[in-house]
Amino acid sequence: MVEKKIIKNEPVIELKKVSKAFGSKHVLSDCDLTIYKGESVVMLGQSGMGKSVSLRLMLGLMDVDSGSIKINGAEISNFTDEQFYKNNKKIGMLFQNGALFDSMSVWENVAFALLNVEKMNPEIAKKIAIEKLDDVGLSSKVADMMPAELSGGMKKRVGLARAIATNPEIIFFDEPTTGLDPIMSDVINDLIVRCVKQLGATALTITHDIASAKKIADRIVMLYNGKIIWDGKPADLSHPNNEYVERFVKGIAS
Amino acid sequence: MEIIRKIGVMGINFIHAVWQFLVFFMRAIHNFFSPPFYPKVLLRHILEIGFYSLPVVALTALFSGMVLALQSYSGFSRFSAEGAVATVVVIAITRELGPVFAGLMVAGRIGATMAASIGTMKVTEQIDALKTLSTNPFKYIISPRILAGILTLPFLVLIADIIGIFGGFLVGVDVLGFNPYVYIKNTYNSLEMMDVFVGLVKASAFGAIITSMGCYYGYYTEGGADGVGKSTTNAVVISSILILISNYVLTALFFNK
Repeated sequence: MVEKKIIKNEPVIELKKVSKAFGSKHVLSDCDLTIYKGESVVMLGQSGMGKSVSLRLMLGLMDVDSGSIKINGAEISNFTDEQFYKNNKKIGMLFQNGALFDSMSVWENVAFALLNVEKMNPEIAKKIAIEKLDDVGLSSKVADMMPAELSGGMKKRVGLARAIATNPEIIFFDEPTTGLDPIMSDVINDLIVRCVKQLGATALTITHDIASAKKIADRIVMLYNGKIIWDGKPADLSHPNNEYVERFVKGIAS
Repeated sequence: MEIIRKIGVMGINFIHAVWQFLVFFMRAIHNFFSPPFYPKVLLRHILEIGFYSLPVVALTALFSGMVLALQSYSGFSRFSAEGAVATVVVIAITRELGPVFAGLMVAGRIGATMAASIGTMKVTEQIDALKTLSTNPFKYIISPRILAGILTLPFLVLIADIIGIFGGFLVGVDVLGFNPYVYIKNTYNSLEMMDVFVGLVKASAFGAIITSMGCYYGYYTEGGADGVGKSTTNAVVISSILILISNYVLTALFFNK
């Protein structure tokens, strides 16, 4: 296991003055955020505040209106198609609903990048997929099942196994505990902490689940009205010195 | 004034949609020739379009040939030209009915399936997942399907031609009482390679239309289940209309002497 080490002078993800609007709705306005190597950052925010949009912008699935997003120092808006897909080899992503490929078995989902990008031998790829499934607490019996046969929690675990299958340097988690019961949420949180630590990866999780944030994060940021309005340690959430953050943590509307 | 404005907006939207489709199609064609290639995916779609569409295409062709023989006999008997039944069946099947009916059947079956499956992938973030897994969805999802359509439809139509002509033969001999030897001889004498060739060119064009429409509407699906439903309907309706229009254009191009 790699010992967790945050390297403060090595920014891995940098957002500078990022803005994004949909029609007249400004989702992000001059948003700044830096995530350092080895750091696990959680972005908190209400629904509709632009957390998912930020994530999609960082993944290059959407274009910024203005501002700059750098991954490992490279400006992603300048990427050609080839550079974009090459850059994604370093990235793992757990989607909110798993986004598992319906037409493929569980092991084919987990081994997708190994089979189709790294062109690995199917037998070796299956072996690695089963190891990754074991890492997320799923038995090898699940490997040949289809995604439709899995429960919500199992789908998240398979999604996590797929995200870590190529040992990425950066992992994004989109609402990893949404729709799960508290016990399963805790299991997923533990898995995220363990996987990120094991890989020595840099991670960004977006969620509105405070318990999850406290468990996963080295640092928590709060997104509100298109900007990061608060940045602190998980322990600081109890006394955030920010009225909105305090209300968010306590679940008070106004 | 309001009506003119609405017509203008509709016109602009139409031009935008056509342009967007052309860019989409050219991108798909470009990806036929640039690696990485996914031969297993291509093979799977060839099987899906060709092999699994065979029963429905064969049945349609068989009954088209049968009804064509019956109708042409009934029409030609008014001026004692019953002997032309075999000729009419073979020309109509190879030039028009084989490709058009096969195209329409495949549009209903494959166009709908493609739009629904790609649309579902879009709304459930599976296409985004592909991108994050360093896989270009155009190369993995779109191009193999369109290439499979272009390659497979001619084979389907060739089989439809044979079965359609056989349907005409069955009715001609068993119902209308033609001599089987004479019927086959008439069929053989009326069979022009150019007719078959043009039918196959049409089939390829229809294959491109069906698959690109299915992929296009699927890829640009928005919303949830409702969006998938709309995409599926649009893919089938638009590809059916385009099949009929392009059939006329190709016929005019090849047979307008």
